[in-house]
Amino acid sequence: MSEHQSVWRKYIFSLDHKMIGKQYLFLGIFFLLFGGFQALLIRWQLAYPEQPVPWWLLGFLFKGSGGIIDPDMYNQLFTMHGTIMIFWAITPILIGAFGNYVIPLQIGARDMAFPTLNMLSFWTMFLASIVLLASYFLPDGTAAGGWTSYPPLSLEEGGIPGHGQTYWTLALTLAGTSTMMGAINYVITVIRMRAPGMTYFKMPLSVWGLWLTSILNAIFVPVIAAGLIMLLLDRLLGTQFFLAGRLAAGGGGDPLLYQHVFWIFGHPEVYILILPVWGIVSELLSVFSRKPAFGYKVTAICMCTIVVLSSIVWGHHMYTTGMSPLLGKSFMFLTLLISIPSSIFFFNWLLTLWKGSLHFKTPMLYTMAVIWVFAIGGLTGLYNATVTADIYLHDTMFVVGHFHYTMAASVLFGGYAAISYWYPKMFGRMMNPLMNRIHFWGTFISLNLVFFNMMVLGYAGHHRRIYNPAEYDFIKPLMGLNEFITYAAIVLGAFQFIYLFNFTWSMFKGPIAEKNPWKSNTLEWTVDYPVPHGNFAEIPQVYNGPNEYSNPKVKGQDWVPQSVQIESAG
Amino acid sequence: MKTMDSTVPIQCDENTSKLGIIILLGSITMLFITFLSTFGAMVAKELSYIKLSGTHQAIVVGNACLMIVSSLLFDSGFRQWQGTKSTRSHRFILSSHILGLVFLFGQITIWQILVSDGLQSGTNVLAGMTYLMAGAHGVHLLTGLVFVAWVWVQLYRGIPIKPLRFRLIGWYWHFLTGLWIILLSAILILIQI
Repeated sequence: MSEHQSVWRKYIFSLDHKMIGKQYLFLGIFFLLFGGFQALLIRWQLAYPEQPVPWWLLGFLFKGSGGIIDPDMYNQLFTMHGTIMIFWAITPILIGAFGNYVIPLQIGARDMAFPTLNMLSFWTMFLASIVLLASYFLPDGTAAGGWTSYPPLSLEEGGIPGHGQTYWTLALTLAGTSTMMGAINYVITVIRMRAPGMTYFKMPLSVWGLWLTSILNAIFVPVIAAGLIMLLLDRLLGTQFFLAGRLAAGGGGDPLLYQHVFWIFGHPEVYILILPVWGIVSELLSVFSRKPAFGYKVTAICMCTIVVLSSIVWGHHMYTTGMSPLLGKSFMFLTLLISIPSSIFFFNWLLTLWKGSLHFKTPMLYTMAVIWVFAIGGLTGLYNATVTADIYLHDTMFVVGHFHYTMAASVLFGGYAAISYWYPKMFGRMMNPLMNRIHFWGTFISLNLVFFNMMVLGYAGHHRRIYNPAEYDFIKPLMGLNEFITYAAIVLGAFQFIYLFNFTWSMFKGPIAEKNPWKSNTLEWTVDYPVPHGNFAEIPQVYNGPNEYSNPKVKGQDWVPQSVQIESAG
Repeated sequence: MKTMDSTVPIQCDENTSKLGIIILLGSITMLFITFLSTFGAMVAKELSYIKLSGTHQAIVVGNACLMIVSSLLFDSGFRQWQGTKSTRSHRFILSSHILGLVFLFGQITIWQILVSDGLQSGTNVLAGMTYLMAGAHGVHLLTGLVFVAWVWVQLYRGIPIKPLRFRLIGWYWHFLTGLWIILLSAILILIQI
């Protein structure tokens, strides 16, 4: 095999789960920046409606509309911001990158069960990305129906003309196909490829989170795929599945059916995104508290319970659609039930910290931030879950703030924790801790200023997705707060460049990492960098759980690799 | 300790492949459950009306029987090949493939008859759903036909074939038969309500 071919195979069409994980990471970071930039433009419009976008926010992009963001562009911005952040940033980084990189290494496998399918999964995602980006260059612009793309707004007839929405639907269907391929691989890899001795309750909680996420993906992605196919046919072939009223020639279908289909997938999707973070947080808290994860089995069982409950609560997104009050109460009851397992493992996190030997390394700082933002996001979720409160709060900025606390903030900090933690294994070097600390505090403070104040705005009645809030008398007194949030968001955005710089700079100039810089027990730290394709020359035998820190039987150190018998460790 | 050479290509075992196909089929099932649930919801809300004449129903059921026979022939071919490793079983597989093709063309023909009788996908939402389910099943069937054709070519040319591949392609083929029977039964029952 020639040198050129081997490079091609090694870096582009690689079958190695670690390289595919890195490919997903770079793709996700690109879209994170792109989606984040769009967020700043949305914030500019909300603070300074119909005023020219400044040069430092690339105002020249809007010269066709006199430098301002027009209503159509604004619709496109918030649609694509949501779509990109959820499906092209969070999903590739947490599930694509860390699912790929971490699962085989932590369970002691040599690769994914189906490496070729794994590679196809990434390239299908890449194709989906091209379709999505191509939609920006269409004459009528990209999709503008919101990230949920409810019909009839998302339909051609009586909705959004042009091909942008069609490209969106196609891109999302392709991304869903990619996710399905990955999910099947992850589920089977965990079931079939675990090293000898690696029982389910010896798996690190990070693997639990990623595995359960994949199970949800395998079940619910086909559901949204069905909805998207129907939406696509409505737009392209003139079917009327989601069209009703006078626009539907033959009586038509029902737009609400799409909402049901969307949220049957959409609510599990929330857990699809957050479960990997919960797993990573549970794992890292134990590592940096130097003690076993409190209630390890209970945490794993709680995550399983949440997976089941998440499948039957979609109706809480639809309280205001005129559903039967009895049905609304049922959904409310089921939704509030989720707070029980969530609270249990939340307290498990706190009890892991209790009397631990806390090491505030940067991954730990990000992990602690997840606890804070998830507490706020989780507690404000109770208001949205309650029918009476939700009828007032629905479609306000309160929902946006809550959603960003749970999804954006938790997942962002969880992602930063994961990158910082596994960076030495991925790139063989350490990130600069000072830059990470500066980034952490800048991000933590500004992020809370942005998202908490969004909830304040919503509580005061500020609706989401409105083009010009200053047009409404009752919002005018809140415009000062809108401006403040925008500046906080700009600060938040600016701090991300510190992390980006650190991430890139450390890859080449960071100090060489030792084999196990965090003194962790899990199997990935037993192999040297660079980890070869195949990971382990010898498949390890697993003896211990992942969190045997400060075990009194182990003398001389407070950790013991999972592949070392505790009796022999001392 | 289990030892492995890291230069050995990574291959998954038989049970892993079987589990893979089971999860894949489960996911495909979820796709069709969503279609069928949507169809049921539309019927329950009386969003539109669809009536198939006795002749139409007979053609549709007859066509489904072809798929059942195709599945049985594939199974017979597999069993004969498994027992004797005889390449003569290629005749069963070819027959199975041909019946699959006939079924597919039958579906298209029935579709055209229904459209010409006024059941347009654009104006009748239940007809649209039926066409969508038949179409989605047809796309999966096309993939299946490619696999079955591949098995036939291997047997016909006497090229050794891995039993697991043969078996898993069979699973997929039988799944498509079962799926269509369930979809068709559900559609015929729901439109009678």
